[in-house]
Amino acid sequence: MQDNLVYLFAAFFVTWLIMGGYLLSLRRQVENVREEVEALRREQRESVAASGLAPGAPDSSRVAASEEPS
Amino acid sequence: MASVATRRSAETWSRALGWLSVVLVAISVGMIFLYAPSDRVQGAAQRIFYIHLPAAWLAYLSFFIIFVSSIAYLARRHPRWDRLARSAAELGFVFTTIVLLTGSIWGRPIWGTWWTWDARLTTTLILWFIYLAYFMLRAYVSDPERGARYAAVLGIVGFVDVPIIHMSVRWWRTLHPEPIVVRAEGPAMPDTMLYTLIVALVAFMALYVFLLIEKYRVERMKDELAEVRLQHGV
Repeated sequence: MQDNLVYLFAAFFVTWLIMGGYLLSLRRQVENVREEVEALRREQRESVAASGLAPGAPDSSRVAASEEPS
Repeated sequence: MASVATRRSAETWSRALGWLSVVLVAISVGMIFLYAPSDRVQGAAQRIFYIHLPAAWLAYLSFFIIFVSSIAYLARRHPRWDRLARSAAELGFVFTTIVLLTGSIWGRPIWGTWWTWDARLTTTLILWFIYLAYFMLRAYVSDPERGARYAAVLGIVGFVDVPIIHMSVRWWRTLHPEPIVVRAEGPAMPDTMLYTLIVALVAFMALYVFLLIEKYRVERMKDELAEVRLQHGV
């Protein structure tokens, strides 16, 4: 029965490897969204600067920016 | 759209749940190795049960969430239901993969084989393929609204597999044992095993809810970004 310990550890290893991989993928998704928010902000700033709009003009990127996850 | 304050509060709760699930998982692992008794026949391999069973229940729960939110999406066409279905599908795929792999690892020392075309195993593999088809359908349909509709239909039809998986051990002669927890006569195991299982279930459930909330938040942000981009023609 001692040999069975190998299977027990293998099952735990596989489970936590998959969970860890999933957490990393979730983290990457959050980072991608953050990068996209940054890109959107930049584009917004550039378009505001190019069109000469007042800085107080409605800026929809703020909505998305406020939702950035920690 | 929820206010920023509401979302910040939800974020705080989610983070607390994340830490709670870490603590519960640690307690559960401790109980699995130190508290639960060894099975006389199966030895240490039987302890795989404490991760295999909660993962299986969460895989079923995921498809139940997809089923309910798909019906709600088709009835109301509100993107929140589609988002919930998408989030649950990803988690369901993760937990079904865990069920298949831990089951295979458990089967090797007990049945003498990594895999057999047993009714329970085969129907669970079909569930895994349904999840895969769900993602492929979404990826290959270019119009997101149409993709969501097609995926909702698959989510409803695909749910049929869940009761079949559950009943497979009764309907067909299988290597896989019959249910030993959810039975009319009550659980067929000693109390120490049952308590360990309950703690493992609670720990996995807390982890699941945390991951579902986080995944849902990511999906919501993606949708909002896509909407902003669409409005501004970016």
